[in-house]
Amino acid sequence: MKKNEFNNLINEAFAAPEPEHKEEFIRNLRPREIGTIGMLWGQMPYISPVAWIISVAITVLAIAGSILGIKDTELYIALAMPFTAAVSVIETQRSKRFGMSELEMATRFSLRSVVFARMTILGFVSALMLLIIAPVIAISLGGEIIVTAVRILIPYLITMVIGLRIERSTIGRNNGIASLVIAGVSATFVAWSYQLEENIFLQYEVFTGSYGIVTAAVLLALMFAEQWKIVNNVEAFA
Amino acid sequence: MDLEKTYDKIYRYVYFRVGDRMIAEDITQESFLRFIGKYGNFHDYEIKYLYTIARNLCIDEYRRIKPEPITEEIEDKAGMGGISEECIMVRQALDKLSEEDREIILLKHVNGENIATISKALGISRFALYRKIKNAEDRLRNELEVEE
Repeated sequence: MKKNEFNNLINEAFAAPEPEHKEEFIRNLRPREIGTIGMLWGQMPYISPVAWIISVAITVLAIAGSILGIKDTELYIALAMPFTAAVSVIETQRSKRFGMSELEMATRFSLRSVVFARMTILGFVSALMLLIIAPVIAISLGGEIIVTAVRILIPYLITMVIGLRIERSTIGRNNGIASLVIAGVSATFVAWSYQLEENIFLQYEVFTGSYGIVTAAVLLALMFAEQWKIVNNVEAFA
Repeated sequence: MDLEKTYDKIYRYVYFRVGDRMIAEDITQESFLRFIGKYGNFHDYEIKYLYTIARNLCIDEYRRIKPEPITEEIEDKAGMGGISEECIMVRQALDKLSEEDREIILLKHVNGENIATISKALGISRFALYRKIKNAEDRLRNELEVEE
């Protein structure tokens, strides 16, 4: 008996009756629901490597500067933080920039949940950075941990608030680097403020020493409000 | 993974183990649901895990209630002109083989699975599987020669 003939006969012998509910079952078959942590975990690989690299680089530089006793480490880190914020803002527009918005709106997770997940991840990363950097700098170079944290945080928050606001505007939606420009302006402003005489109210250390916590709290509230608006309107902006 | 094709393969595999259309369909669907429950989706995983789940469910079913032989149904179909005489001979020859031999022949020749999938589904090494395939095919050919 030839091989083909043998195979045909076996196939015929193993012919099973047609299943009755196949189409209905396959039509209703849905992938397993994924929880919040699973969703966040699943989105991590899609975040731009630049965001991870900047976060790790700033943390390493802060630790190295503190260990080596470089006096202005706090200033350098405060100047670098706006760029972390800019990358986070750009990440909210990533789907649109790569033409994935429409696809993500039609997939398993809504575009809104994808953007929310990415913002949450980057927010956690930034918070983690701050929790590492601020105590290291404060303990190594002298200073209060909270004041150091606020000094590092304020430039980041300024960039986030203005960056997210501009992302919602026509200029921001049509310009991929608007957030980077804001980060540059924010870092320049902080650098300018740092070098002012200590008797001037706007001098960064004087100002943050007196009003830093209140300013950070207000900026934090504004940032959450902007993030809320971005998440709620992301599908309209796409 | 083509869900319809996969469904057919698993269903056929289960049907020839339990011998009942309804139970086979129940086990097939349960296998799919358990697969999704464990792996989330069908994109990243291979069919071999589905076979393993289906096989274990068949064993559970076999323990619960011994399946009825399926030859009657085949013969009824043959009586209605649905199956050729040669096919009945093959069927009878297959019935004389061990369950494992039938399983191997179904997976390889009917479902067209590769060696890696079959060895994983049966929980044996590839070398052992090559040997078992050859033995099963030889036994089937011998049975067919006797039938003729």
